[in-house]
Amino acid sequence: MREPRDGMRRLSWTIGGLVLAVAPHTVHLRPWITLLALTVCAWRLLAEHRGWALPGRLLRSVVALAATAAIAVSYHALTGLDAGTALLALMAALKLLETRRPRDHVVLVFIGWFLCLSTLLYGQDMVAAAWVLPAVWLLSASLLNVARAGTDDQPLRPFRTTGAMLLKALPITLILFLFFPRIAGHFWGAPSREQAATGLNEEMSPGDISELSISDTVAFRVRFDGAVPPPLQRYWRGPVMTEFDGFTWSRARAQSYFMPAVEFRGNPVSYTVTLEPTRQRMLFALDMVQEWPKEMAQQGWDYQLWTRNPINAVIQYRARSYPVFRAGIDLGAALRNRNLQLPPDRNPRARELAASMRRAAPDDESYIENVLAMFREQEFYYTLTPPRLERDSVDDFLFNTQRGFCGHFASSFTMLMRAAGIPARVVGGYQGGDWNPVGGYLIVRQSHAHAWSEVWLPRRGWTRVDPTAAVAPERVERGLDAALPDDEPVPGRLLRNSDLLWQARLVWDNVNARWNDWIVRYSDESQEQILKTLGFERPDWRHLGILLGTGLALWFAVLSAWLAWEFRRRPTDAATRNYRVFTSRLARRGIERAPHEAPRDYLARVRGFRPDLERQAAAITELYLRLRYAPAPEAGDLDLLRSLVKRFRP
Amino acid sequence: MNAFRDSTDPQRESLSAAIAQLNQVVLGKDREIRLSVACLLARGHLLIEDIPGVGKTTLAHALARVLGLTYQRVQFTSDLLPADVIGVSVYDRGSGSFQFHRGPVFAQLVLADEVNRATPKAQSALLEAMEERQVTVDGVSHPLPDPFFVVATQNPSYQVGTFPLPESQLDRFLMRIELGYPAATHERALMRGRDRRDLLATLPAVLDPEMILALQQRIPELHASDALLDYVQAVVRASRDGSQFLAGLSTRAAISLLRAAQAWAFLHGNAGVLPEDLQSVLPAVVGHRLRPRDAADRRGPVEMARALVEAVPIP
Repeated sequence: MREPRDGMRRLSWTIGGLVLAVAPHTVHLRPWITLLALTVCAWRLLAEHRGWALPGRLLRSVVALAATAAIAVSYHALTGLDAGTALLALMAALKLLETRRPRDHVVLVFIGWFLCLSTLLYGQDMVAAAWVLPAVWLLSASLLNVARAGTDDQPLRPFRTTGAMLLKALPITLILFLFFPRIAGHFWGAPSREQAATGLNEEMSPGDISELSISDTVAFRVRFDGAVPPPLQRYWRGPVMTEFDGFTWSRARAQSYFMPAVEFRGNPVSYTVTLEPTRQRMLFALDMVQEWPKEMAQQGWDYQLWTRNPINAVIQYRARSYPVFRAGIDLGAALRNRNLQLPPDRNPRARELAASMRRAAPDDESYIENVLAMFREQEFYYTLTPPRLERDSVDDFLFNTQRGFCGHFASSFTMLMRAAGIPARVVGGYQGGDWNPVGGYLIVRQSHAHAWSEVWLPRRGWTRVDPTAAVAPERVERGLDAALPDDEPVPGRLLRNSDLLWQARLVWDNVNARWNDWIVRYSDESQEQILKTLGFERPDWRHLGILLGTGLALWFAVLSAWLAWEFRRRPTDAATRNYRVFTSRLARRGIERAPHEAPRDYLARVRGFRPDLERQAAAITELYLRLRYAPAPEAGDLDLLRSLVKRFRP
Repeated sequence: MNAFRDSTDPQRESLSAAIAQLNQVVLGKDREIRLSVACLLARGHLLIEDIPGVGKTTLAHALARVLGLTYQRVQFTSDLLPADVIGVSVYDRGSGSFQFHRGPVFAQLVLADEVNRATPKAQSALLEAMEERQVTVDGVSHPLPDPFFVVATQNPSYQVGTFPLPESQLDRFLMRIELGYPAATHERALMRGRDRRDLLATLPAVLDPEMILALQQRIPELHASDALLDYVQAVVRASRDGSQFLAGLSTRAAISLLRAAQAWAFLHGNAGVLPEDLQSVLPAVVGHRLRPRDAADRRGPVEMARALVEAVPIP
């Protein structure tokens, strides 16, 4: 019979491990699941404490079926990452209701491990990994705790033991991580989630980007080969939107045009982008990109880079851009028409305004100037919390609210251009970025999301015009924080005002960037690089296998050596060492001494086999016995033994 | 070359002479005789276990004669009472008080013959006397003679009508030995030779109680090196690891083992205790203190002791 306290401890350890394992999932689990699971845990602990009976088989079955049904209804599925995790978490909690024997604990620990694994399917950032580690530790300790009952005197010992075990496993993990052959492509790819993408969309309605702007998450990081371009040139091109229905701008779908040629001028900027998973197909590059990994993405007629598959993992690519360029001098009629398209019956007042302003201006350029001047001089405000707009969004914005974010300005400006007969389009993307002096790279966050316009002018081709810059030039030059009044919430504003915190944040981001570079993005190519560095000329998976085997063998050798050292035959004095030399020489002649064999018994045996050795062997044996067991060995005994053994060559 | 032999000791000389005398009476049992003498020297008691008629009683009697000790024999039977062993207080009309009449236990060498035939009550009377080296009757303690040496014989416990000694009481015996059948040549010599009983009567005493006491005092002083103590502890530790035996050897067993080994080393003229000495006495000292872990394990005491020796490398 086990002590009741023992059962309580086992239970609380297992539950603790499970809670740790489930905790990172709570952000995407439906709240009712978390709540239910916690309730069951609490009830189970209370039941153990009070000695209540656990529910019977029928009740348990009903609850399990109901929970499964609830998940099916809630997620519209039972498989897939989200529903699967939910099912796992819930069933782990329900398993507690029948957890009595050690076997049940073992099952729970295994579920816990699996939940830890699934955490990494959601994200492989450092925090997730750092969280999973203690969870695995606690779960393993719990398993050990279940296996060994009744150690009240050292309740924390399983922790120590499993800690040591995990530490010993760490090099194995490292070797497997480094050398286990990785297969290129999507075989290892984490299953994608059925979830709205974070980041920029392929279409833009008024208000979209301002939602994004309150997110402080990192979109991508950029490392420049040379000098970092000034803020005014940091326009990261994202989705180009040409379709306008009067409210929403969207990307032109399923239409192919001839891509107008680009003329690059001046000096290029080369850089490497590490892109966080977007679950979309866009790559971001500085305008105007000239070189990028062609096997990864192709450029559309609107100069945007598209990948073949959604980006579900952290990826890295190199690109080269020319800040000064001339694009699309020869536009072509089809493309021109597309960029003039407007819904005929929408935003009538804006159309009117455009017509009158265009009439008042001598040419297109001065018309553009006038429109920008209008934004600048009239009562237009730049804010993250604009009022909601009516169906004719441009009319509503220009004549009623006059308060907006970059999307509002870009949308209205582009529409005014089109209404005046100037081909124009809205470009989404990111603008700016925080320089991280610690790591020497640029952090581009979701809060840097931006929208601007491109107009087509006869001799200059596609020209970027940022109407936001007319209203709030600080936004472009110094970032969102500077452009907004003090009473508006801006992510990280508090941080930015404290040097120390800001510094810490930059360091932290740098650590994250390294994590991405070294851990998450470690791939078959990285392995190839390592193999080449190690001197394999044409590395393939066999070499990896060799390294894998060698690495593991080496580590096991180290462990074995350590064990041998731990359990070595301790005090081996000089007499014994010499005597061992003597016995091992005889052993080579086939007269082996058993470990328990007394020296004189051994001597008798030696005498039987090799009478010729008797004198020498007897002298050595008696000297050894005297050295080791006599009250006062004579001085010089040891030297004598040494020389006798040295001369003993059977 | 023998670095340990020291043959100039007169006390040991006479001890060797005594052993030679004993060998005249009990033929072909040199090892058992030496163990018996070593047991006496280590101030322990001896249990001889074997079937009737292989010379248990003869050995005990011969020991008493040769060592010059007073000798009493108690035949244990199922109706033996404690008073039959330790003595009884009788009212003396003349003095008007109770007089204690000493039982057979008041001898320097007591032979408790077939000790497992008596009831536990009678057995425990003897065993208490062995342990306390005194007898307490009516609140008065009567010290037993010194040296005091009990030789108990026992029939194998599978024989009918026996009360096997419990483990705790077996532990009181320093050694347990078996005699076994004599070799054919010795058996023939026994058939041809004089009756042992007559022989015993003519046996001269080689030692006397004072000499034995002096020898007994020398035994614990015999050198046991750290290396040897390591070995004793390794043996004890191996018996305790639970792989072979139900319970490991006690600390008393460890000390007994050392004393017995010291006595053996003394008998053989070794200046310090050798692993050989320890291994020689080990079956006799620990055999009866071990129980196999597995109930189906039919090994006897000697086999278990041998397994223990073989499990422990000499450090």
